[in-house]
Amino acid sequence: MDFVNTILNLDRRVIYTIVGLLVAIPLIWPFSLPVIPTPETRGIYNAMDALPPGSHVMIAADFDPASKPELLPMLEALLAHCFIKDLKPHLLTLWPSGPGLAQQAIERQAEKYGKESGTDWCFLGFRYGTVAVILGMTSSITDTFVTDFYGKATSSMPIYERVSDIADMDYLVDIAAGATVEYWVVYAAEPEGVPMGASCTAVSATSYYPLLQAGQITGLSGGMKGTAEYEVLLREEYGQSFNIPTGDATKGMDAQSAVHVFIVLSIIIANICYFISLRREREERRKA
Amino acid sequence: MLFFKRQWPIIVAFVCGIVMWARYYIPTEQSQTLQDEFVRWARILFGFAAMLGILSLLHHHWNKIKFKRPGYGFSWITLVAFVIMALTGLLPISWQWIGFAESFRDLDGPHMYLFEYMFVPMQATMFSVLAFFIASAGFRAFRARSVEATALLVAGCIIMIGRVPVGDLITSGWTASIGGTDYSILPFAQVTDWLLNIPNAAAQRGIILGVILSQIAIAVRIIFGIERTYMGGGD
Repeated sequence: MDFVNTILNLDRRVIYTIVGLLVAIPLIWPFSLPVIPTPETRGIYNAMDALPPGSHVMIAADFDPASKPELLPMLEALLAHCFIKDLKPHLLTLWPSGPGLAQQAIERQAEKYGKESGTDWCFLGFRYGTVAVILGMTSSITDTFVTDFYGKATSSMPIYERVSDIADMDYLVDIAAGATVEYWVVYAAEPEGVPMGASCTAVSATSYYPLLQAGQITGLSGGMKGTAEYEVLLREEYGQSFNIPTGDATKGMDAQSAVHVFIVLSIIIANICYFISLRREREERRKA
Repeated sequence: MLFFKRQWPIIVAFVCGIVMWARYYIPTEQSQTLQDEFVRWARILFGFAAMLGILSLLHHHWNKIKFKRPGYGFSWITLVAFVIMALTGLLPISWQWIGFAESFRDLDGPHMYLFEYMFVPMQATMFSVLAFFIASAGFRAFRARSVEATALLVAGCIIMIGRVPVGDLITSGWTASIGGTDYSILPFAQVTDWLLNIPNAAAQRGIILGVILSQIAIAVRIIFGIERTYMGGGD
């Protein structure tokens, strides 16, 4: 069998092995490709960075473990940014399998920056109802989430002394693995006049460009690349003073680059071989 | 009884739909209170819907075990996993006697232990398998057979390179100087930005408008009782 036929009939296990190696090798021996932040990610970072200390930020962690590598580092970076700038994050999730990851992230970051639950931050947890929960919070956060994730009454928390509903928030961020960005824009950010940023998985990032262009979201972080850009921006500005290590998304960029290059090259090679085989078939038919 | 099965849901949908639609155009305190009340009801209903979902899941798997249908062993695993996760998450008791944290809500508690070391790896594994399938499918099936397929292939390849750091490296690394200005020979980053911000945004805008118009049409059909699939099948 010649090269063209070998390529066209390549066993899928060969491709799986190459992909596996291309993911594993850069994670073990990173080659640290430079991550250049895009204007989309800067849109969220700049909006967050411009908030004065004491501002309230609502962060919705609407994702589950399937999107952990793409979105959990973004949640960690956003929370770190909040605590560095003395902002007060109100964390919640509209996904039933979201609280576990959100709890890990906020407890880790709060411990690192010495922040106190109920005063400097609040983890509201999960409530069923998606749109009904968002609409409920446009009237009263403490009525919608009577207790926080830990079972403490939200109405008695110092963090809710000045804040009653979403309109009192200074910024909103939805970290979404599904379609919740649109709900937050339609039912919270737009009617209440609260600026909002969105972070989503790479596959759904393309859906939110119309919202970005219309100014309905100030910024958009797409997939692990967007998260890596946010981590880079945070490290550039606060890395030395707050001892911020290289983020998980930044570490994953080498593996993602290697696999993307392999997939593109394999598609190009497979297409060249496909056209050579077509030409051969045509020549054989002509001869026959 | 037939009235409560057929006519009553349509009357409820009509009244609620019209009231909530009219309320939007009446910016008064009473109108806001009415919405708050409806939203509270909706949240309660969502809670019952979740319970119904759980009961349906248990019923389905219990029947599978009872009648020993093919794959009933997996149903046992589902039920056992469900019971363990529910007990460790709901019971407000101390689990210190088996080495866990005192509170079931703690990160070192049994529920979070199972979540971190069972649920997270399993779901992450299922999702990451996609990378292997996409690589294999792209290699085998992504062919420039027509003009449309070629356009999709070229755009896909550019975005795949342009959305990772290696694209930035190629864009900034390979430049040519023309009239004192440096131009990128392979401007992946710029072309990716153009593709996402112009053709993609235009197409997405059309899709969003189409979806929203369809949603309005479906809402009107439900309010006026034309669309009845939400009432379920059978009599």
